[in-house]
Amino acid sequence: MEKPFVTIENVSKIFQTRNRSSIAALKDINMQFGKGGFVSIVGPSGCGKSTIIRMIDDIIKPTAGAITVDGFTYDNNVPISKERVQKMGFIFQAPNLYPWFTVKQNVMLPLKIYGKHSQEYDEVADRLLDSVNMLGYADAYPAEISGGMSQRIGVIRGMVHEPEILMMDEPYGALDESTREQLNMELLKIWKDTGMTIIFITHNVEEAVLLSERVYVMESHPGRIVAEINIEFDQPRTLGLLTEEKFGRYCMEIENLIGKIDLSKVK
Amino acid sequence: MEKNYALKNAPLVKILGSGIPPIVLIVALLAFWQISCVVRDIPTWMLARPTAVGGALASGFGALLPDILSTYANIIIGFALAVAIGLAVAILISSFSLLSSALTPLIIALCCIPMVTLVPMMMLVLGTGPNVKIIAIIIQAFPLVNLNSVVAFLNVSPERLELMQSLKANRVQSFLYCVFPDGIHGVFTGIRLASIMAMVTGVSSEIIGGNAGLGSRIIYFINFSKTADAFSCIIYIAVLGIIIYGVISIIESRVKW
Repeated sequence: MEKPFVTIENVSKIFQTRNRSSIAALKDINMQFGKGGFVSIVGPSGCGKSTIIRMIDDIIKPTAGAITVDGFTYDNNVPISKERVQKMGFIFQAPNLYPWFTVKQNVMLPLKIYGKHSQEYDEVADRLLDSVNMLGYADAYPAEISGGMSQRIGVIRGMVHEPEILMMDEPYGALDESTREQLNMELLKIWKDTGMTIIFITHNVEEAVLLSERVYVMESHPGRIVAEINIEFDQPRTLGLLTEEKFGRYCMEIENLIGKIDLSKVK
Repeated sequence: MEKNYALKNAPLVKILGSGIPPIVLIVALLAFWQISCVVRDIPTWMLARPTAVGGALASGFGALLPDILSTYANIIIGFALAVAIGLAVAILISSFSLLSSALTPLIIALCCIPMVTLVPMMMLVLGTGPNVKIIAIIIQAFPLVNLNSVVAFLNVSPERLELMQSLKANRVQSFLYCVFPDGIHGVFTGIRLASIMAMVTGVSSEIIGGNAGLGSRIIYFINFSKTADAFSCIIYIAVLGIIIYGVISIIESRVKW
């Protein structure tokens, strides 16, 4: 991670509640990482992990601070440019497929919105469907495929327009352990093949250590980053890492950081 | 989930084809009606027997055809315009909150006024021709399409809408790909309710004034104690209701989600 590609500078977010009190969701968030990196954000639920990537994707505006992606800076007043948005992909916690579109139409939805209709993109969609073994289901409707399949489609929809940055909001949270491991391995392969920058949100510490080059650990009330841990394993990573002692040490270190916060609250 | 919608989504053909039970029930009711009339010796001028109604249907069709066409045309045109206007206004209202706050009270008021009470006054201005009936149908039916559609569009699933925000879709794209299909069942609920209001308003306007249409025929026949012919008019009205319901059901059955 050399030259900074994504920079988050002193970003804070205050939400106004319905009875007009304000909640500090995020306070002074600073992050910086290079192009092609894989970073994870872990933390207790409600610490604002999802809010951070929603601000990078410009779905939510920061109250203070600024975000710079590839030299373009945006904040509360300056919206992200259309061209820049098209270089970002967002993968939701739920697959969020539209039941009125077929699997392939769902995958192609970002292209439709960006007005990219060429044959070339059609092939990209087919290739992605093939890469997750779903080409045979291209004309099926979401109601006709399983939860794991839906999640795969949700993931490739986020990358069909070949984004430079992929934000993933606990994409495999609802899946069983073995499907999750399989999809994680698929993700690592896609990351290696495309050279995308991936920002991965999870509350699963092992998953974060297995996948990422760097893990940001967060604490809540207000949401803030308490540690930044570089995970030094060789690429490509395999599930074999799970049994290594070093892997266990990383997990322990992160779990302690999160656990400390929880223990202090239990009184 | 699908099962709950089974009846709602089934085309009319399927409902009718689903069996002998409804046919048996209808035949039994008609038989009961016929037998009661015969056994109690009820005079025809008071209550026509099913066989007499059948006879009237066969013999009176030619003479009634202009009225049938007039009633069908008014209701179908009025209903179609009500759906189009209701939907168009719903799209505007759900997109612009200022329009919503300005128009919604008026539309709710329209919904609450029985048109039968306004039609006589409208006839003073517009005469008793088809226009006044079509206008009455539109005014009574469009709010139902409108209010149900607005509720459906504004209650779009936040997760689905967030995908559109994430992709920075414009208003039109967001409506076409997300909001409209998400709310389609609410729109259909409005259309179904509107079809009932269109039928009621169409026929009652004919009863109130003018001498065209099945509604005015019913009053004419009853004045001459021709109850069998009056019943035949009611059956023609019911047939239109069934046709409209069937068409709506067939269209909605194409919506698979």
